[in-house]
Amino acid sequence: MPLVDVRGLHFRYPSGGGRHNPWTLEGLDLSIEHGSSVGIVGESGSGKSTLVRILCGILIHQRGDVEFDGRPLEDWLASRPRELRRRNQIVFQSPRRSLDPRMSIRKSLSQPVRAIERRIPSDDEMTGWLERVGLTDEVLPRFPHQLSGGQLQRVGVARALSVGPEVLYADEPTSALDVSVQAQVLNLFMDIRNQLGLTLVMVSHDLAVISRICEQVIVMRDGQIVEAGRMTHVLSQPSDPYTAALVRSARLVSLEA
Amino acid sequence: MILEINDLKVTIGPHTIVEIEHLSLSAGTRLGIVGESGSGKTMTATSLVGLQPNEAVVEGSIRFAGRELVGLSHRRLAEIRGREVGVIFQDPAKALNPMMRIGRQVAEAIRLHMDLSSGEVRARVLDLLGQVHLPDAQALLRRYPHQLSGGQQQRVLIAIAIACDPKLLIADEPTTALDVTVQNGILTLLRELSVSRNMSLLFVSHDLGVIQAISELVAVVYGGHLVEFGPTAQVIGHPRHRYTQALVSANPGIADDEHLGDVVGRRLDVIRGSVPPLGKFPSGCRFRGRCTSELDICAQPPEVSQTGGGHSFKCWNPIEGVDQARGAVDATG
Repeated sequence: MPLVDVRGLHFRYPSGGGRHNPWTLEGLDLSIEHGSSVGIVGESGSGKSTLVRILCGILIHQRGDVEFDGRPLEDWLASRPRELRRRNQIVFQSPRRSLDPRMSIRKSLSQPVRAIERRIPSDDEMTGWLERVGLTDEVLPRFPHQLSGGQLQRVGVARALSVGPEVLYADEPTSALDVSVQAQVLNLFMDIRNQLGLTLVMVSHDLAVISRICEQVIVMRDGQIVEAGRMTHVLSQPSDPYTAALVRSARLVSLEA
Repeated sequence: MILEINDLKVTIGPHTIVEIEHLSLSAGTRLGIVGESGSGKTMTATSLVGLQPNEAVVEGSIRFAGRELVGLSHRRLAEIRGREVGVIFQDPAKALNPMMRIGRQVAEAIRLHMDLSSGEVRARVLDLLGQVHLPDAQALLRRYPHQLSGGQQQRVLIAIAIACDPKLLIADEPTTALDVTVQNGILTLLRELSVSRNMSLLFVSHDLGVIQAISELVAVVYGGHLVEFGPTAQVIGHPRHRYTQALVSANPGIADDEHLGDVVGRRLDVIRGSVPPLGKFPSGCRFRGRCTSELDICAQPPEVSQTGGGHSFKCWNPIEGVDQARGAVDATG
C-alpha cells in the first residue's frame, strides 16, 4: 500500500486562483511509496506547490480521496491533526520568509515541537538537530537576518526534521540559492534521506535538480499531471509533448552531468 | 573593439570591489560574466556604464566605441546609456512602471534619445515590439505591465533597451526569474538580436548552464578579480582555474539519457566555505581559503597565463591543460 494515495483530487482556490493559478486541480491521481523520492516539476503556476500543500494538510481539497497511510486526510485532520503534522513536514522556498524575523533561531527551531509535542525542547536537543544539518549551536541566539541563505535553509530543514517526519516535502528549496550553496543543500537532502530513510517529495521548476535527487517524477502543467513515472524513463523517453519540450529546454541551459 | 577595459578598479570606502587589469569585447560578441553572489560580477557590469551605487568610485579606463567613459559626468553617461548601451535587469516587473501603459514606456525611451515626430515614434514602438516577437503589438500598447507575463515583460524591456540601436546590451541575470521554456525564448531572442544588429552582449549570470547557452566567451569573476577568460566551451569543458572548476562541478547538470540513473542520489561537489563578505577576501589569490589545491605561493598575486585560443587564467596551481592534439579532437568531436 502506498504511503500517500490520491484518487480524483479536485481543488480550486476560492478566489478562482487569480492570474497566477487560473486553473483547478482536476481529477489528479498519484501515489507515493514509502521511502521513495519524488520530484514534482512544472512551470510557475502549474499547481505543483498547491498540490504538495494539499498532500501535507495545509490546504484542504474539495473533492476526491487523499489518503495518508491508509486513512483519508479529512480523518487525520479531524481526529489526529498533530500526528499528521508530525509525520508530514515541509521546507519552503524562501528560508528568509519562512522564519519570523523577530524570533531567534532558538525560538523558531522549537516551534514544531512546542506545537506538536506540547513541550519545550532543550538546547542540547536543538544542538543535535542543528548538527544533523551541518550547523552548530552558535546560531541558536541569532536572528534570521544574521544568517546566510544557505544557513537559513539548513535551519528550515532542521526544524522540519525536529519532529521526526516520515515524509519531507520541499517546495523549491534551492531556487533562492546560489549554485554552490544549492549543491550543499541538495547534498544535505540526499544525506538525510539516506540516514533517516525518509520519503522525499521535492517540488522544483529545475529539471536538473530533480534529475540528481529523485527516482520518480511527476510533470505538471495548468493544474494537470501530464506525465509521471521513473525519472530516468520520463526524461529519456517522454511520452507527453509538453514533457519533451520541458526536457529539451532544460537540457539547453544545463551543463552535462 | 567596442569595449576595452584597462586597470578597472571599483572601490567603496576602503574596500576594493572590482579589480580587472584587462577585458575587451569586439563588436557583435556575446560575453558571459559568471560568479557566485558577492563575487563582483554585477558590480563589474554596472560600473561600466555608471550604474554602480553612488558611494562606489570607478577608476582606470573603460573605452567604449573609442570614447573614455571613466570620468564622464552622470549626465553624459545617462546619454550613452539608453542610446548606445542598453541595460536589462533580473526582475522585469520591477523595471517597468506599473502605472504606465506599455506603449508609453517604450515610446519614452525613444523620445528621450531621438528627435522624432509622434507618428514616427509610434511606428518605431510597433516595430520594436515586433522585433522582440511580441504578438498583437497594437493591443499591447494599451496594456499595463501587470497584464503581461514575466516573459512578455522582459521582452518589453528588451524592446526598450534596443530602442535606440545600442552597440552593447548589458543583461544582468535577465532570465533568472523566468521559467525554463520562457527563459529559452528570451535567450534565443537575445542571441538573434545580437547577430542581426551586430550588437555586443554582456550577460551576467551565476549559472554556467545559462552562460553556455548564450555566450561565446566567458569571464569568470571571483572576489572582483577576473580569474579565467576564454571561449565558453573551452573554459567550461577544460577549466584551468580551480574556482572555475569548482563552479562547474557544483552545477547540477542533467546527464545524457544512458547515465541519468547513475548520477541520481550521487552527492554533488561543493565549494568549500562561502564567499567572504566585502573587504574580507584574502590577499593574493582571492580564492585562497576555499581552494582545495592551495600552495604557499598563492598568497602572492597570481600572474595571467595565456594558453592560446584566447583562453587565459590567473592561478598558481592550475588544472593541467589538455594538449593541443586532444583539444583539436574535442573541438571537432
